[in-house]
Amino acid sequence: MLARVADNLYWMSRYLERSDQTIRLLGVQVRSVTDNTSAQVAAGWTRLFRSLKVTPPGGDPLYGDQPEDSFLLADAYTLADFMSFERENPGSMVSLWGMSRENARQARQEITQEMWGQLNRTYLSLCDTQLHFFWNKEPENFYKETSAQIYLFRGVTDNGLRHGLAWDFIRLGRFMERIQVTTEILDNYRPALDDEDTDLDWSLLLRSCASFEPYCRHYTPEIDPWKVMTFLIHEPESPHTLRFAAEEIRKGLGRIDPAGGARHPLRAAHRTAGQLRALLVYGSQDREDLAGTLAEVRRLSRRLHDEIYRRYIYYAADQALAGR
Amino acid sequence: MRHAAAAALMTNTAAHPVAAPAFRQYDHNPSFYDEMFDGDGSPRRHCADFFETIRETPPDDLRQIQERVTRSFLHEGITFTVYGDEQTIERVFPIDCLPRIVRGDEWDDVARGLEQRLRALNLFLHDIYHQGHIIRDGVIPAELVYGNKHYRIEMRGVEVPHGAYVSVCGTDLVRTHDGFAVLEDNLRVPSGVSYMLACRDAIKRSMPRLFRRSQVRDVEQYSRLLLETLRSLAPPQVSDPSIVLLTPGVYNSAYYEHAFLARQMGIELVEGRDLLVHNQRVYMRTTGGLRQVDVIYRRIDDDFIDPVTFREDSVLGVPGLFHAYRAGRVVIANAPGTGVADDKAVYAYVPRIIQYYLGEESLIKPIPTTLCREREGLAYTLANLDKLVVKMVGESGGYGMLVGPHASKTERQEFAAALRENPDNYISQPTLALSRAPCLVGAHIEPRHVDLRPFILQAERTEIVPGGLCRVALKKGSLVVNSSQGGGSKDAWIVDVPEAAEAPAKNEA
Repeated sequence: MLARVADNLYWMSRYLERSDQTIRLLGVQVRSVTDNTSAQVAAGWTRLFRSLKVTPPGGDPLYGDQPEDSFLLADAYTLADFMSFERENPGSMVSLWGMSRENARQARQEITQEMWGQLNRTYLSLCDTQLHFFWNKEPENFYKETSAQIYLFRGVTDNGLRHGLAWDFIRLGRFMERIQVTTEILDNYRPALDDEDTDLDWSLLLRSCASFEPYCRHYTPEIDPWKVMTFLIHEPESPHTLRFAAEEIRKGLGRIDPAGGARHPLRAAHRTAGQLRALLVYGSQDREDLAGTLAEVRRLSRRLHDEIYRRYIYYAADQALAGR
Repeated sequence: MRHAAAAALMTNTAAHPVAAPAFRQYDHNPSFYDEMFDGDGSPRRHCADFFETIRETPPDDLRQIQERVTRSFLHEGITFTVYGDEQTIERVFPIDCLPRIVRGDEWDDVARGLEQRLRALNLFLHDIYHQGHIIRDGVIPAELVYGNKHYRIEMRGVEVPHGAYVSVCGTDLVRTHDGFAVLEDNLRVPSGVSYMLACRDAIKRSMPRLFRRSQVRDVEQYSRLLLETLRSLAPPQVSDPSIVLLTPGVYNSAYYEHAFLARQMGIELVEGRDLLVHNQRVYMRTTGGLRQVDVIYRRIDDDFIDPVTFREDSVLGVPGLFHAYRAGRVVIANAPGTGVADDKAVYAYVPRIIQYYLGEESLIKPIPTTLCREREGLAYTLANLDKLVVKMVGESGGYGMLVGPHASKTERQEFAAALRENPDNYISQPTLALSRAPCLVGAHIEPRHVDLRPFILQAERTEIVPGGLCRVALKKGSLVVNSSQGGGSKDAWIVDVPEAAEAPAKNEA
């Protein structure tokens, strides 16, 4: 497959995954408006913007000098609109769909008609939608339905596309994005672990990571903050945990480039993927190491992205000609 | 639609041409050839069944068909983007749901003519890039060939597989009362074939029964034929050639078509930056390293394919590509330098070119063309400026053109001055009464001017799929079919009509 097209597929998939995360965070936030105190809602918005690394309208809660509760309930509509339909915001749901679709357009010979159709149809219908159509009715429902369109896309991908290189790069993009965004979400919940006074609803974190039901099956519906945190990092069988993503990335790289046997030297990317997995499988699960673990996941996944690009996408031509 | 088709099947006996609501406002103007109706306003025999069915279809159903067809284009992504102040919107390329129907035997004549024409033009191209017999024999003036801005001196002496300089050709045909005529040849990077295929697909799905009953000849094999053509161009020592389609990229207006064809043929769609040349071999960058390329179906103009040989400011091309081509390591289709043969002044010589190489009369009638470079030609053109179409040589897409009958007096005077200044640069032709075909306009059916661009493939063999891109000037009275200026497209059906006994009842008006 063309290196440029692999790049397109990888980003098509990353943008779509990011859109999925954004939609889920918005759905959770919109829901919490009805159940929680305004201070909790404000803290929720702050976490949302920080996790997605988007600067909210009116200032950055990270670097600004406003108090954290400056997002009031009255702002919810503006903030939700900004994250859903604002085209000037590259992190809004509709912008992310748009970029995913642009990448798909440049890789159309590698994806199926149904994949394109699903991506394109949903994008066009999002373009025709505005927040006020549903804000006073069932906003949560809208986000759920849009999420379902992404699941549908993944369904036609997994069942219609040959599980070859294109599929591998799509999957790689999805889990690379998932591990990075989930790490940021967890890191933004981390301070609340040590906060004695907090009345934070930790089920929100589980819902933000599509893991409420897997958690309840694994433990009980009794929500313990530390169990939630370790579940989302180390649990091997739930598709939205860091460990699950790391396993998928490692497997995917093995399919793309089956190096690493006795005859072939390990690629840098394979080594990093292995380290990432090892950290999440065998690494410390102690409370005092949490910040360090998350920082290490962040560092390794960024390095991995660079190494994948250096190896498969932007390699130097003279090296490739020399057969290296 | 189901209801309507069934109704039409059962009511073939109702032969009186009561003006159906949809056709009520139809303007039967005898000065234009109508693709569906005779001079007396009754449907031509090969259109009779179609006419009956459409006539019996309620206007609402017609509108729904039209909407379905348009929606299928939208979902398929056959759109262009309009950047507005408020929001960015995607417009669908306009498509009309009523096909233009052409009789099979008429088409066969046209196809023979097209095959003959392309064969002669390929021989012409070979000649002018080698010995140049045709020029020494005085059939065509040397300066028209060697002085042409599309003549590529770099192509001299290059051997092209099967002599197929042009392996993909799109020829614009128009019809008048005198039959089909060639308006122009597109021998460089003709486009539009994907619209032909997408149109057909959409029409087939939205009027399946009528389509099936009409026994339309297939066009779907185009992609396979194109792939076979490209494969047969590969260097003989390569058994399983690696073929790519070279596109300028996603911002090109024909990008949809490039992606469509690459997908249909199962070949890579590459941009210049995906390719590199090393030791006169062309490679593409894949995730698994560099892979050699044997045949390039390029959809980039000559000027841009290689910044080392042609335009040095091109960022779309591949440095060194032309050297690899000259060395025979890679095949480029169409070959560089074919533009000289679809030039407007050379057009006037095509009947003579056919005569010279094949010893045959041109099967498709040429449009009488006057060269202003000849003294009498200039005088004639200047004297009849209000009746003629004057075109600038070496321009395309409607630039540098004067349509005499539609121009104002000052426009004509200005043009006459330019003509006298540089007569070599112009040719003139009579203003043609382009044929018209029924189109759905709102709830009515009205006639609109149409042309037809069939696609001809030539390498070891010549292949022409029965059909083509039928372009429509959707604006009333307009003769401009370009999509940038309010043009659309429609499906073209080539149908074989059974003998009279079997035919549906003909309307006796």
